[in-house]
Amino acid sequence: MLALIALLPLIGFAINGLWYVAVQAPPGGKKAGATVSGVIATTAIGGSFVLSLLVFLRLKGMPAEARVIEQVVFDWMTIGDFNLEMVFRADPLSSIFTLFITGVATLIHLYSIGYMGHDATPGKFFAYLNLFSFSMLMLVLGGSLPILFLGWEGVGLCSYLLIGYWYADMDKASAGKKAFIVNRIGDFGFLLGMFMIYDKFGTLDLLALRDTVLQSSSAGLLLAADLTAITTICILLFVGCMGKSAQIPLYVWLPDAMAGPTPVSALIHAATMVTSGIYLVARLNFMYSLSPTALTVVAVVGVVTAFFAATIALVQRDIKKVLAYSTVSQLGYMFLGCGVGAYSAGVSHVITHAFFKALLFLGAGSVIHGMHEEQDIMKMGGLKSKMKWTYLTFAAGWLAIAGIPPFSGFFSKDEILWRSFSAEHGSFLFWLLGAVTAVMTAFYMTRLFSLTFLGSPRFKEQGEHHGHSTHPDGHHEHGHGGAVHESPMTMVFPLQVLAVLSVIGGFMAIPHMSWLDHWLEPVIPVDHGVAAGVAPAMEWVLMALSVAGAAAGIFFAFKLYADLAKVEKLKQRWAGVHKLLENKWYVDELYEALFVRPIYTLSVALWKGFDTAVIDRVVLGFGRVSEWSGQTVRVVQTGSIHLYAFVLLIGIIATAGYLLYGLA
Amino acid sequence: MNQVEPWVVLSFSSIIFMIGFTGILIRKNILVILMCIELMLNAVNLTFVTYSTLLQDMAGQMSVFFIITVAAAESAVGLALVIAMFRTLRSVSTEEIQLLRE
Repeated sequence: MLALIALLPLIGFAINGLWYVAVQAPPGGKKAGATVSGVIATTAIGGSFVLSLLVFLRLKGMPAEARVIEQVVFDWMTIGDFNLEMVFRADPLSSIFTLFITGVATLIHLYSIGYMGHDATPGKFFAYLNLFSFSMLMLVLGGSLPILFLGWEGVGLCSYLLIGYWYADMDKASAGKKAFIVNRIGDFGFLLGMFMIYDKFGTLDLLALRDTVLQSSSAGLLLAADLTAITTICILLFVGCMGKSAQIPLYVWLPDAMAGPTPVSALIHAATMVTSGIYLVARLNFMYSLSPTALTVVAVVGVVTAFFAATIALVQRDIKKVLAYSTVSQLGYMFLGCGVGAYSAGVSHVITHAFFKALLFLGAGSVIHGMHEEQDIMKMGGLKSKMKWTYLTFAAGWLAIAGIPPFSGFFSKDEILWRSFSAEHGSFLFWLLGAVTAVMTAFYMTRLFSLTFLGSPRFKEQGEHHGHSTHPDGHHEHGHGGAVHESPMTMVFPLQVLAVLSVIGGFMAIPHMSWLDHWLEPVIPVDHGVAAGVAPAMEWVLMALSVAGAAAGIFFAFKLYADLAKVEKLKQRWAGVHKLLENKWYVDELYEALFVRPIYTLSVALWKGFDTAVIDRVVLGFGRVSEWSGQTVRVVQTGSIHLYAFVLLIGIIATAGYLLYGLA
Repeated sequence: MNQVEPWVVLSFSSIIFMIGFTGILIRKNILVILMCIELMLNAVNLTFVTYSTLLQDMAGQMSVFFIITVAAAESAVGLALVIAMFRTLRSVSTEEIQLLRE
């Protein structure tokens, strides 16, 4: 049953993929509509969701300590005494991940049927989407690190394929390339970490590794050298997480990944794939907990990323870019949570974030769809009355991410903030940065919301208000006219479901009586320890502060963006800062100068200086030598058999003479 | 019965061999060249037979039978080739047929 969860999307991928390759792609092939391919793909992933639910219920029926279901599908390879099984394992952590992954993915598949309705190759799109789901499920269900890594690479590949889905556009193709390369840098760390684990503990199986580490640590067998090795392993693995989960310094690919179709941004680059880094840290919490240094690194990187990305999101004009930076920022929160030892708080934010960020992205997709591929929020406004459902559901997502109680984001974010202050590894600085980020989050999300849905329209209804050359999001054949319209039912329904989840999702992790903490306890030990010198009452003070901060952020944003002339004036006054933020702190330019340029120059030098000048010359030289020698020797070939016979005679005489008389 | 001296026979076969070889070197007509090859083969046969008698060894005569068989097959193939060549190229002169040179 476990393997089937992952297998179903793979089957969907095979059907859609083969059908596309064999029938639709060849010239003159019959194109399939988005509906048929979409229904196949949605059924496949929907089936996975049902199975995940069954697995979840079965785990729930077991006693808490025994909540593990394992399935060995086949022996993958055996090298010496190293045996690698294709093993799937469901425990509370992975079952909660499969549940929300398949759930959100099903909704997004459904949504894509409407969104990709005008696309030229929906078969390919849905095949990729299913392949992604398969890889992601393998990542969370994999019972050993290599299986997890297989999924880890698979999601990276699918991310590349889907970002560059409209590859005819050079910018989109290179955005895909950027994502892949940056991810590979991270994977390098993951691989090294994995090798070190095998070297140190002799196993890659997650359960065996956990037992080994916990036993030797409780028996006091871990020496200082071992702890250093664990720190190194944790940091190396975290480098992998930096790549996949878009943390400083490897976050640069995620904003560019918005070049892909919007459902992809929602599924891969907001709800699921980017959270796999948090999954890995939470999964290996027993190792991270042994290494305060690694935890500090995780927390610092997380909180700095959260803060840094939020500042960029303040001034972006592209609706998807704002959401992308907000994703980076929220991922930073999750790592902050993990980094102070509150893994379950991180996981709960992963889940609520999956709900509301998928909702926000899909809402943005609906807006983009309704506005005929317009992504600049400065050219929107007043969509409230035109897209009622999108407006309402987006509002739910907005309040959730802003951290207004009782929406889901409030509970998970506040838990992270409180723990970042109170936990043993926490500090006031973490809390402060996190809280300021929360205020900024509320501010930029309100800005986005207000500019998009409120006020008066800043676009011309009907006609050519969107130049055809500047289509930012792909599909070009919109049959219908220029009127802004609400999206079809297949797109609105997922929005409604996600909106409900965004509203109520937080109740599974109410601080102090968190169902989620309890559920995850077999995997993630519950630790509500409060560091010395922190009064428990502080929790309420801080909670009030963060809610007040969020409310203030919302209030100021509303006030400011009600009058755009004032915004313009403010922009003039702070032109320098605005420019810095608008250009994303010039990080892309910095990387360009530091890494891309030198490598590019080196490559060109090697190409011209070595490949062309040396290797090509040698190879061509061989050709020239044989040509020259052929030309020289061909005069011997006269074609006259008399001459040949004569030479033969001389040869015979010479040979005979030599044999009879020797050289003398 | 008077036996012929071996050196007479050997000289005779050498002369025939040289005649054949000279023919290959100087004649242009392929048909004649084929005949010269026959001449050389038969000169070799004669040598074999001579030494066979001289040394009382039947291996020489065995070789002769082989050579006769191969020579027959060779001339059949050779003549067929000459006919095919004449059909396509309208000539049997080695002066005009020097295709390998190109």
